[in-house]
Amino acid sequence: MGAYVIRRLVQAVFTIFGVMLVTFLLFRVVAGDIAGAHLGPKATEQQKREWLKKYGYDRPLLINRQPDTRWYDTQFAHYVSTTATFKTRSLINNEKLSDTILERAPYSLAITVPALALGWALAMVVSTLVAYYRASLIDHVGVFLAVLGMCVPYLAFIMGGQWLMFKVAPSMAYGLANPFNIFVPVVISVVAGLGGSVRFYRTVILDETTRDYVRTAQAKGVPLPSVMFKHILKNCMLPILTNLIMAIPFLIMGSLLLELFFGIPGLGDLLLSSITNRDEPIVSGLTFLTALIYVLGTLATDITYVIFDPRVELT
Amino acid sequence: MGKFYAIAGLLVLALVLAPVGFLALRKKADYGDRTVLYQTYSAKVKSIDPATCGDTTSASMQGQVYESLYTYHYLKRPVEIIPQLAAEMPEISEDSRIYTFRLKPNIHYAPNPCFGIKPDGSFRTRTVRADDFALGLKRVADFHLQTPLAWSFLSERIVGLDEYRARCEAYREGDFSRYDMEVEGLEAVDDLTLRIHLKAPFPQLIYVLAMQTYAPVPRELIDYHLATEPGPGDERRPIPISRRTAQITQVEQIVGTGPYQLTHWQQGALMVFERNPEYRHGFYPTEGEPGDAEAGLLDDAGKPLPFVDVLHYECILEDMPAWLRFLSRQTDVSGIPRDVFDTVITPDRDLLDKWAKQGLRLSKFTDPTVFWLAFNMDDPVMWASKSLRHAMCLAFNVEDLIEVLYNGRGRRAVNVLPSSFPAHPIAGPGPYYRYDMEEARRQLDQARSELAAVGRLDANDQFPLLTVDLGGRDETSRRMGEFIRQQFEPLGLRVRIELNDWPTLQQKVHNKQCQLYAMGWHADYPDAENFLQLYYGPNIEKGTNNSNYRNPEFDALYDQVTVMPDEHDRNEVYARMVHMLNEDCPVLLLVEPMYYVLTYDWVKGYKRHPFAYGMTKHLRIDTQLRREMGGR
Amino acid sequence: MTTTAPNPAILAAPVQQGRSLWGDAFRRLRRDPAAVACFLVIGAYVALAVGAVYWYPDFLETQNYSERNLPPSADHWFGTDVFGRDVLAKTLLGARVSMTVGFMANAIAVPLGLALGVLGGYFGKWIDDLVVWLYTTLASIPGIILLIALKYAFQGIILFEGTFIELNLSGIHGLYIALGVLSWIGTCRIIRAETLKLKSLDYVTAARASGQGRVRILVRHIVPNLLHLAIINFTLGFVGAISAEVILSFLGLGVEVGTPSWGTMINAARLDLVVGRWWEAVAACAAMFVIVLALNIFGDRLRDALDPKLRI
Repeated sequence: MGAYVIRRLVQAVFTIFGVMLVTFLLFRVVAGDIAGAHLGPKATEQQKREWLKKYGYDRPLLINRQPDTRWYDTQFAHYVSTTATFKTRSLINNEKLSDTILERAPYSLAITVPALALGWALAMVVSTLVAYYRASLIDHVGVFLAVLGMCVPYLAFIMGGQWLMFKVAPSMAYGLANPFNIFVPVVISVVAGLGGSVRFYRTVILDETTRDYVRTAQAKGVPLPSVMFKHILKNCMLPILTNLIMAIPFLIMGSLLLELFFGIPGLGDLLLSSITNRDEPIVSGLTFLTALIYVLGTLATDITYVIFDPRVELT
Repeated sequence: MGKFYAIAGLLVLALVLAPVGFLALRKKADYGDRTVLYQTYSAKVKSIDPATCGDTTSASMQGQVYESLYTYHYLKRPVEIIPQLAAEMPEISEDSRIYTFRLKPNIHYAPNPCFGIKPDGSFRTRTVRADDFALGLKRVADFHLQTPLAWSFLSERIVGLDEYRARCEAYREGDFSRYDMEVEGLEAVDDLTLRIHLKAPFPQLIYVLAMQTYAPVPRELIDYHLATEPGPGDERRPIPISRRTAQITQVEQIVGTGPYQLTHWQQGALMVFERNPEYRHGFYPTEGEPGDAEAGLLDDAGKPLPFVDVLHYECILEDMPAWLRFLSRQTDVSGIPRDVFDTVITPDRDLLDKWAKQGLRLSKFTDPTVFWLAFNMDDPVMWASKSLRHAMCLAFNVEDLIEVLYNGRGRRAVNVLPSSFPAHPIAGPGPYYRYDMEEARRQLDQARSELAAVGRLDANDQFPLLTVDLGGRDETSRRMGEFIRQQFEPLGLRVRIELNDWPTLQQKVHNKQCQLYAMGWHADYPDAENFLQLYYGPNIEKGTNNSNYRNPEFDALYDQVTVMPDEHDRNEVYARMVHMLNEDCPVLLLVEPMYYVLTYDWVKGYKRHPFAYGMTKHLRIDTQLRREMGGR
Repeated sequence: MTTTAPNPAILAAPVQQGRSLWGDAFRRLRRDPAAVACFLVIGAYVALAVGAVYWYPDFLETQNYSERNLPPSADHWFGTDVFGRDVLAKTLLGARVSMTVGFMANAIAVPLGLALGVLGGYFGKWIDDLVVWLYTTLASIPGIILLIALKYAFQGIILFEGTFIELNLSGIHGLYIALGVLSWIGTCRIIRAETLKLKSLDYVTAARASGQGRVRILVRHIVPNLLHLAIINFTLGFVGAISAEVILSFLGLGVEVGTPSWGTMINAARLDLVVGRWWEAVAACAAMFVIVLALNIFGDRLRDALDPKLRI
């Protein structure tokens, strides 16, 4: 068990390094003429060179082979050190990334956390109902609607929702002037994801329903609702909650599109605008943060699984 | 199991309601009895430091707090320079190289802790001195500050300033002792007299000094806000040099003489300005241009400014929500988004009755802005064939462009200068800036032989594929691209459109990678030199001449005209230069846009100024009328 | 000893057909009305993708400025767009982009995922570690960010210019490549898991014992048993590619100007909806909805049909 944990930790470290490398390379390439982007069209060549020197973009990317310099005096090394010590600063307003994250994360979470909770609750109710009345009209209609819901483009949900709000309550269609406005993107997120969740949960529940112990219980005269709530759902919780927990690392980034459409000043919106504005440190920093949370989250899930589920084999 | 459901249910409920609690706890704006102007802005503010200001949004916001030596008269057109922090127009020496500015006495900065804190906790202030202007100009020249726009107007103009910039490089960014160095051309003769020594006559200097980017900066600001930081208790402790930044980035660090102070800034969301108690030198003009009195623009003549106590600007990036805010009377002033235009304006370009009944007023303005498609004169195809350029200009139906993509808001640009500039009518319209398909085809035939002569036709003896780069990826740019393609199709020219975001386009243009690209220019000041510099040969190196147009005769005239002190003489020469451009067609002129602005009846004194920022101080809100009409 | 002549009756008796996985699956699908219906729909879209261009050869040049933004009518069943062009035509032409992107992106992603998954699963050790590291790293970064970043990186790059296989990376070609290069992860995971299972099966061990080369075993025994998974992933990946194209076009990073696509139609309609111009958005969304539905249902049925455990 200990060996397994150590092995996963080592893998996680490699993955984190890999993520750092990928994000670094990708966004350096994306940045393009970063000096020009920040100095504007009236900047001269010389001003650009001065700017690049000031922010360290004139150093080699990965390995420094120039004479009289340390081999690790590179952009990559600088990136790693500033990210690891939370010293990343924006190129635009010099604000520390850590401050920005603290300021904006609550807005992103304000959409994703309620959406996750409400989505789970609603999907559980619907899928239990549908699985209970298996093969009846309710089941068929439910599955049909779920499949339909899965096939409608996400953008259609967003645009449709916003259109509806413009017609019904225009002040709620954008922005956070009123705290309750946040429920518009939350509801859209829940509705858009409901189809997929219902199908998945229904499959898990039905799988469980076909097990022997259920038949035995029914044969012994235990009424089905009782079996359902006391035993089946309990055993379904593990895969369902695992699925839920896998989504937690991505909560903090919020939903890019929802934030864009509804003017929510969250991290997703920041990421998108940083890419457009070529605010390279912020982009790299945020992406790395997301990846880090994801890797740690998966690691935690794996280890918890091993501790709690005796059936899992260690590879 | 029942317990599980109960807990799960409660948890879900808590998580769902949590954001409401969090959001409700945010500070709510409550302004009491004060008059508030509500407006939205649609791009993020990038800079609150006057020296680094480079975009119109930042400039609009900075105009509320910073002022420079001169400004423009609010009402008079054509525009007129009037003294703002200077007491009068400058005294200019015989050779036009020495300008002496006398400052108004008793102009105070907004109260700020950098000047000291009184026993009762309020902040002190002091009067503006000549050396504050010198410091402001030195900061623009400072190597360590990103000032490409502000510096572009001063570089190589003032004696000693370029050398100063070079010497700054040797200092570290946090070492502010460099601001103590003397600059030969910036002389603070006494507290109220500033003298500037120029290398050569610079007739546009007066316009340059009307930009608030050259606002005075008190030395105390640097020493207090940039060199020290809040420490334990109420103390300030010094920041080590290596950690200091030379740029103003925090709200508290803004020290200006303008009518307002920035009191709240949530980046990308909200900006709130409140009245500056020390502002006493602004008054509503007593005269204007014909028509102003009838329009009610002289009702407040002579009264002290500003009228509004609080400016509340909300950042809304999307057109529609901003428009809906305006319709529901949550804001006081707005533009008209393209897509709702037909529902607001009649085909005759007037406000639909139903909107006028709702208390809306329409104002139309022409800004000195021109949009065009630039030909890269260094591109082998574009350079080789003048007839091709002529043909493309003649084939492009700009009237359709204005109708379809601009809702008719604009007029065709017929020479490179905006129509409000005096040299424009003198020069007259260019012979190729009109729609004439027959002539276009004739020019195209000629172009074919011109290109064949240099071997630039492609394998099938057809015109090569042309690429047009646009600077935007949004729907507007896409539509523009489709329109452009369609315009050249009848000529048989194949065009490919590349959508780029703005930084990429600038990069490509700078590296001369574009064949044709879309560009616009908003005049910085009312002198044709501002537009003609875009075609001046030596500016190719500097990066402002991006169509790579080289014409030695044009350059010679440019050298001549930039040092001519008399405006009338200049206009004659400008007209000749424009003639050359009309013939050579280095650009395909498109539109001079018009701006349609809607205000509610309760907003008084609105007149958009083509150049100046910081004119919001002239607006007055009839709060009772606003409440009666269902506003805030 | 007498030799017995072969009995003609026995020879003439029909030999029972061997039932392969594919034949079985095909038979099952043929009998399933939903699957058949969906297959026909998919076929129709493919036909549109190929044929619509011939039907409306000069679509883009039908700009008619006097007929802009008209609502649906007898002349124009779905109204007209901002330049006066018929929205129905635009929708049908848009199928080309979506179907091509779906196909090409998966044509890159699925073989890539298959190859890496098999290599990792079969050869194990450091190759496997490398493959797992690669897909875990890529999976940790939100896909949409990678896509946006790749598209930004591809701006303005044109490979093999002037040749037959000219690739304009800022347009649709870049879209295929970006999507292909990022969507192989799902396939790879599944293939790798299956390969690990197959590797330990008896017949493989037997083949190894009989001295067959590793590569030969790979090609003859393992890969054929993975193809059904590849096909399923292809079908389901199609949907993902179409959705991604729509979102990227929406962000302005999709196809080049002048190519009609559902994503650009939805983007154009963003502001139109609020003023009541619904036809362009609805047309594009409906077109997308139908093909996504058909692909989802067909993919599901295909998976059921190819599942050896569900033998009737």
